[in-house]
Amino acid sequence: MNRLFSLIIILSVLFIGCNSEEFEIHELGGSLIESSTVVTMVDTFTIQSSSVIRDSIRTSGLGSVSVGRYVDDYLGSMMATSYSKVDLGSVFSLDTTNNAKLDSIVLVAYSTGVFWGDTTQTQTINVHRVTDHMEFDSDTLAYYNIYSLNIDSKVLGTKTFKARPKRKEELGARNYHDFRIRLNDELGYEILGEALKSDGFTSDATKWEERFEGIALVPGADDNASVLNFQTDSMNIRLYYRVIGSSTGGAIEKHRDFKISKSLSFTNYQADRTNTNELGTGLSGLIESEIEIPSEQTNNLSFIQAGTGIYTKLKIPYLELLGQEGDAVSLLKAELLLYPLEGTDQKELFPLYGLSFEIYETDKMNRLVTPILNSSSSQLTSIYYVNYENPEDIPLYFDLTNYVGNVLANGMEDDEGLMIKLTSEFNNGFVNRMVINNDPNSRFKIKLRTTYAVQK
Amino acid sequence: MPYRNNKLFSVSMKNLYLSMLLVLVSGVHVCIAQNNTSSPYSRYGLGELNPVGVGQASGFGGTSLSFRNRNYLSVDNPAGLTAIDSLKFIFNIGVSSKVSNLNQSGDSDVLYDNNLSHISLGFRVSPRIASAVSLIPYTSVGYNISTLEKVNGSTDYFQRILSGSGGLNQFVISNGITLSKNLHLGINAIYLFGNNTANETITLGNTYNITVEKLISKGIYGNIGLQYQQAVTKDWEVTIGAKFQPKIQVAAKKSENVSNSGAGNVIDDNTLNKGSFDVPMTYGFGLGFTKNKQLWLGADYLHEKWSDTKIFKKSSALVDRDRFSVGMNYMANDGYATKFLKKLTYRFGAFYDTGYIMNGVDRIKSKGVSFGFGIPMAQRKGEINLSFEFGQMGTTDNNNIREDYGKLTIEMSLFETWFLKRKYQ
Repeated sequence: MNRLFSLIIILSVLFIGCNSEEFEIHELGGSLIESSTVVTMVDTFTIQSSSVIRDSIRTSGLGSVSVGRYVDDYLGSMMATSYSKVDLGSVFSLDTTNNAKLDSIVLVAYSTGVFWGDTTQTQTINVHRVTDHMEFDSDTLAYYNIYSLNIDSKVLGTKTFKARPKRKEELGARNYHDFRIRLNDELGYEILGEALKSDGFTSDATKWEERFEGIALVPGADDNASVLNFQTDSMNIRLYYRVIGSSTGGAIEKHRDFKISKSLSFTNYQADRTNTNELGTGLSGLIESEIEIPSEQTNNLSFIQAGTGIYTKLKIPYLELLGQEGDAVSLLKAELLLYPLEGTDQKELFPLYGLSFEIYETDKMNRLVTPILNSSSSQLTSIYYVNYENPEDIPLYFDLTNYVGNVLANGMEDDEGLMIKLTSEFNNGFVNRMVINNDPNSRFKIKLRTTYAVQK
Repeated sequence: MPYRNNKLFSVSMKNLYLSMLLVLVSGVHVCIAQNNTSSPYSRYGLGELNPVGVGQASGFGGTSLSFRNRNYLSVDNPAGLTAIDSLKFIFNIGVSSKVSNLNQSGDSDVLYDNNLSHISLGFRVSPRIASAVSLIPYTSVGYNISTLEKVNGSTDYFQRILSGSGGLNQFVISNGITLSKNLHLGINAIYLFGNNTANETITLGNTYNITVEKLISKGIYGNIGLQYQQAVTKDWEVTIGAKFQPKIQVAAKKSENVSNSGAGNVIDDNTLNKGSFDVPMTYGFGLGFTKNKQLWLGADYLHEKWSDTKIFKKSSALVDRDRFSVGMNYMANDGYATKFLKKLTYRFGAFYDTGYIMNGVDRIKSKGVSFGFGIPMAQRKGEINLSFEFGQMGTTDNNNIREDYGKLTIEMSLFETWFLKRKYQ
């Protein structure tokens, strides 16, 4: 009897132990709680911004080159000149018995669909022959935005036009419509003549190079229109000719393409900021990478301009004080908000939509020290999205929770700052620019919004 | 020590001890590991207070200060221990099952809690002294509350999840001493152990902040009780009961840990090894009338001065508790009963309790009625005590919560006859 009872008791105790309730989360009781943790948002940090310039931006090997000139309301004039080596390709030789006759020689190029500036204005592109030998520096294997090459002053071909960079072959087609510049027949005759010789310069790549290194596309010196972007893998010089056939008696139309080199093509960006003092954005002193020009001197604005390598640098001098807001400050979220100055993001002219930006830790010398990481430890990037149909004041947004959390835990260097630039090499190698408002009296100044929990 | 000579008896005792040890060990395990409540109110103070009165007393509203019974191990008023049979060894184990319906502004939620309500054993040590040891929960913590709140100074919302678990348990050594024929004194020495854990998780986006606070009790306190009985007529006897407990600082430890998922680190990790929390000054009075040892009617008043108490030097923000109860215990068996229903004990009671929680302007009061049966086992081997309680706690005013509950308690009370030398086996 005792044993039986003992067994029942023990079993019942164990049963109850196993039967304990699962927790259920419910909203009941919400009003009852006097919280021990307070969650607060603070966005009143002083944020000092400035504009700095990087030494050199790689513009070769991006799959495109840029040509055009426009005058920016904030950053002065911007001129893009492209340089491309023209390859011979396979040997070009024609049977001397055939009577070949030149039709024309043209530069054929295809847009990437990307442009910057006003395409309703007339603009000019002049084609010149490059006279310098085009070869990579063995150290860098690249060409940079500041490089330029000597060109023959003689114009090979010119075109004055209103650009239609988004024009497709036909409506809805995938491929862009070709863009052609007729070149001087003189060049056509020269090439065709060599092809008929048995040892002409079209029979050997080295000889070709000696005679025809490459081409430069130079915008009109006074243009204020758009900067266009052309694909490098489809740009070529096309020679149209006719062969008088012996058997048929009729003429056969033929053409031969001399493709430009994808790797040995680059864009030179030349900015003239001498007049920016008159524009109120005194950036003429922006010539070296150690120089930083504070927003206070540039009409409370700071700038990001790809192509020329202008980055925005930020300093948040009192960030560490966040840790003194209370006992055991625990950061929940930190967001950096940068608002483009009203009117500077224009869909038809200067679209910022879809551009991706990244942020680095920087130092006194304005070097990119380390990329800022996101919560999953990969590099933090931010894509700027704006609805042009209903433009509100939408900021470029970075989630700096990880970074600020680290500052709270480990402190920061005295001259530590943040550097913001465009992400992809392509975008960074074009002319996209962002004008960031940092007017201390504006609602849209640069903000760091931190949300943190503190024990009561 | 006459029983030593009885071989059969000592074997049986060994079994009993073994089972008891097992039960105690597993019972302690259950008490510590389980969440004994699902009430959001258990977030306050030291948790949800364990109901007054265990076992038989749960059948009559916990009205136990003046209750004396030969089968009853009185922990609330240890003076009542002196009533137990001199030849008996009593072992009790109680379990309870509670269904609550939580209501708040039109919403409701049903929760179930199953618990070990107590384990106790007691016997008479000498003609004047009876002792008992018990394991009884003191408070229970078990809540899980999720709210969406606005960040101060922002339009963002964050989620706050509050969850608590654990509870405090009492290991009570009770002694009842008969001072004179009519006057009995009782003393409880209580070791209060266990811990209350409070977790708070704040979530905003992908980042969450977790605060874990633990109150670890490891201290001792105690209380005393008195009972005075006097026959007033041939049939009626009056019992007056009283209880007193001074405010005592119970030694405790407190740890606090704050960690943040974003930075992946511990923001704060604090352990206070020396500290205390207070159990309140308590007094209570009970008045009971017994007729022919069969019918008992009683009433209790209990006062606990929680407003004075502190938890780790911080005011506990609790309020004084007053509890009123009435009860009846009727043993239908006059000694000659043969019918089953005539062999039972019938119990009935009611209580009104102001509780120790004040939420805004509302006190979280509770009230309830209870009834129960005592069912004797064959050969006087024990008794099964069933009790049912239906009650209400809190209010739905001012967006508070009202809990409507029903609770079943089953106590298995086993008697082993000691000190009896049988003539015939």
